[in-house]
Amino acid sequence: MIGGCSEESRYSVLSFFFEGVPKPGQKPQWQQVAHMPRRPPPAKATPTPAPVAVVAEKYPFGWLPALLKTMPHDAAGYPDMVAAFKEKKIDPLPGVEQDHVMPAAKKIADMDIVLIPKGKTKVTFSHAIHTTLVTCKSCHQTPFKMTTGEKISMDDCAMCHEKVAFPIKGECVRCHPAMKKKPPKEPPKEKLLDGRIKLARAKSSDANLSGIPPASFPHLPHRVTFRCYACHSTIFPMKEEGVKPITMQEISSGKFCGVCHNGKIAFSGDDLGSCSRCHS
Amino acid sequence: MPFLSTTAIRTSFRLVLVASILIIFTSGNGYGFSLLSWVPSEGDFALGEWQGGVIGGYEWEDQQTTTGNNTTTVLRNRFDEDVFLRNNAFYLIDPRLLSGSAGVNLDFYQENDKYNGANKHQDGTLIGFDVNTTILGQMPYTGLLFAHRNENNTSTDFGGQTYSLNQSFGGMATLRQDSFLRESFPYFSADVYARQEEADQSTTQFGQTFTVNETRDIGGFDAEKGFQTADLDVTYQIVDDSYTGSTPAYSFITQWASCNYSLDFGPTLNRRWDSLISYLTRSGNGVDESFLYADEKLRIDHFKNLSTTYEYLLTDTDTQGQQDVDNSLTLQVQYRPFRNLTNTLTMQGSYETVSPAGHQDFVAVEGNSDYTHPLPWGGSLLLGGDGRYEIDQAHISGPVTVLDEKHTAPAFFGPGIGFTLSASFIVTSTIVMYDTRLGTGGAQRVLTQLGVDYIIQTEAQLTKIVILATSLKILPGDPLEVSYSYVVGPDGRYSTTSLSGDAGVTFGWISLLGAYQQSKQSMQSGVGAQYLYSTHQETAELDLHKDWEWVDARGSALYEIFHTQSQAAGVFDYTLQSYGEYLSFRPGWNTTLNLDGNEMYTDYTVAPTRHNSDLDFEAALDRFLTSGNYFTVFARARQASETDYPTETDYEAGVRGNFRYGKIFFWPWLSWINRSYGPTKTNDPHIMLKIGRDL
Repeated sequence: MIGGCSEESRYSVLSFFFEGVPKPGQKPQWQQVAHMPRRPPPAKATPTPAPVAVVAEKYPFGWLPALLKTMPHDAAGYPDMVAAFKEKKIDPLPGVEQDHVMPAAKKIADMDIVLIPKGKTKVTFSHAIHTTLVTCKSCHQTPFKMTTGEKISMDDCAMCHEKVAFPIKGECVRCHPAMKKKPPKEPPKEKLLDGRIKLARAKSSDANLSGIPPASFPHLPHRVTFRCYACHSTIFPMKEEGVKPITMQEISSGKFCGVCHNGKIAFSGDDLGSCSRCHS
Repeated sequence: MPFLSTTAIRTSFRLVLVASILIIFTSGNGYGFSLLSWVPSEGDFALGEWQGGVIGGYEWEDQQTTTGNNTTTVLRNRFDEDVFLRNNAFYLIDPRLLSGSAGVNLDFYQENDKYNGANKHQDGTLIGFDVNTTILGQMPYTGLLFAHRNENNTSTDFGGQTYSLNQSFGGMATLRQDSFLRESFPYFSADVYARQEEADQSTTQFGQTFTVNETRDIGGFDAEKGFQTADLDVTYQIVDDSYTGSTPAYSFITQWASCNYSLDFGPTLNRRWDSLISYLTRSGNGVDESFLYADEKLRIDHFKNLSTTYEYLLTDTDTQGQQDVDNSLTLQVQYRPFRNLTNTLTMQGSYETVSPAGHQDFVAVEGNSDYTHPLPWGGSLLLGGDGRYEIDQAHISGPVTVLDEKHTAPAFFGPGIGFTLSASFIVTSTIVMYDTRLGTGGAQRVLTQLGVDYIIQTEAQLTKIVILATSLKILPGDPLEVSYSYVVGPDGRYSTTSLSGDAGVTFGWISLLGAYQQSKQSMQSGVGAQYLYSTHQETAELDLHKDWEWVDARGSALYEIFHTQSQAAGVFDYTLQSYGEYLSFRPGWNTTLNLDGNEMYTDYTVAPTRHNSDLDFEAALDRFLTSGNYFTVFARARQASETDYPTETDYEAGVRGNFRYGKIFFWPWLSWINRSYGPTKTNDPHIMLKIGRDL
């Protein structure tokens, strides 16, 4: 019956009951079916890369305690890094060895700045030793502006000199030579001697369930091996704010610790048995 | 030989347990103290996260069963003491080299009961451990090693003793797709495994010992290979099952192999071939069984709305000299002329030989249409129709035997509640049923008894098994195996015409559906017309559901008329009404109230007429307190009744909770059950309290 109707009538009747009815003048389309392959074609075999010569680690077991014994110590018992550097007991490298080529050391600003000219608290700041170890940006413009007459607080110096450099409490004479030497009030703290930094783990980390402890970073052996600017602040910012979480995936891909700990310069995180060297 | 064979050893374990509980609860700074702080965790072998706890439990039950003037009482007093400790994610040298978890548990219980005033005592010990290790877990080739052991010893009065041992150990090697084969043999993965399982039981009572020892050695592999347009999966498993003990020993070897292959091909990969071949063989103790299954299917998508499917199916079952070979062929055309209309035409043929009984075959053609259409207010109309014409030729003599057909006991036993056997015209006197809760082999199967554990109800050509509430052998949900013989039906040629149709409308919160189906068999030549039958069934169904912010409500009603007729079984009719209600109320103060009801009424309208009803109402109030603390108050009433049989009525109410204070937790449970089945009435109050502490 519908076959005898006009195309328009046929369309209006059929489209009332059915979906996808071809419009008048439009032929029904038989759409082909095309499925995608289940997998990509197998990749062509790549030539086997040449074996990488693994550099033997420079430092034998127990080298750090042996070094600490030979280093000069301050009155409080802390290793005197500046004296050790001057006496050539240590020779921190200016940077990381990339492909066994040593980067050039940066220029040292060799000048002394008189901060307090006279009196018991007179201070002359040695620019040379600081520029040997840290970059200009580490101190300028925060906390120290590069202007004359600037007021300087002890707290500004304490940003480093309580954490990684020698402490200011009880060691007044090292900056204020006119002051009398005082005996230390308490023996040096083991943590500060060792310089070990316990890294906090994110509460949401899956690693919390694995039974593997958070990593702890031995700062002192790195400090006697490298100058501060080898790592700060290009690899690790020194300020807590803005610090990004460090993950094993990023380390394996050559970021953070992985810049050196890649199996070529130093042991790799992927090496068997290496977990407990940091996670212990 | 039992691991714990002397009283001295068992006593020493109890001393260790009591000492552990005392140390944990009295030492250190209260519940903040942890024994585990003593455990070293550095070095080549590092321990992972510790879990552990001690649990003490008390259970009291006073069950009274009265039948007329006869009263049976069971008074139970039971104490449980459990200690468990495990370490997760320990590792050797490096987690990627070897990691694992291991645990140990010690459980003790003492039970002092009174059966009709007579004192009974029993106590038990359970010692178990498990170790699971993963070798090279992050590598493409991983190994798994595992072992577990549970040993249970129960002592009863007069020297009675039950000892049971369950243990297993084994390993599995896995090769993943990213292995060294990834370039030469890509997309390949495989598992190879071997394990041994042992289950021993020894029961001594009145000087006599009954032992059951079962050992299963299992090995096999599973390999998968992926191609650009295909997949291949090959599996093989061998099981060597040996069984010794007080009953005659037996030993079986079962082997199973299967190959599954699928391939996309054609100019636009619009053709798909699926192939499954599976072969199982079981031999031992004079029994040889084999089962071959082959399924070859080709589907061609000619266009987006037109496809054809061709399928060949072979099953070959050979059991104790009886061979059943079935070859069937199916051709299906599916055409969708419009987006809301789908038509399917199916042609089917089958040829089956049942040795030595004879053979049977059938050819059939079936047409099916489904149509949907949108309605105002977001509704839709559903229409469907199906017609099938089948011609069967059967030349089989004598009854056919079905061995060990698998079924599951219902969750609630009551009149009219059961399951229907698969075959028609079953010879009811040949039915034999086993409860296989303890296992499917030899003496582990428990033979059940007609009239004591179950009854048989014949519903026209079908047969229904109803479990009796008074059965001591069958528990709700038990696996069952039923063997029987059935009359094979006509010897000759007959046709079956089936028609069905359904229509429905659905809107957001309401749907209404009506369905009709009928089937009629007619003899064309031969004898046995009395075994032909016709059926028709009419169904109407209404569903309502609505969600508000605090309330979720659902309701359903079903009405069904069923009629079937045959010369051999006569006329069988019933009408069925089924209603369901559900209400969930969730106010904003961590409380949920759920009310659930189901009622089903069945009237069997042909003599002997009978009426069956099954009513089930449940209410539960959940109150969530602080994190991890909650309690639930629940009540349930259920009644099943049928003319000619006593009514089964159950009432159950109780409260259960979970409360935690620091590392100490409490699990109280109080319940009361009142059950009546005809003149038998049971009253059963039950209290259980468990107190534990995490380490």
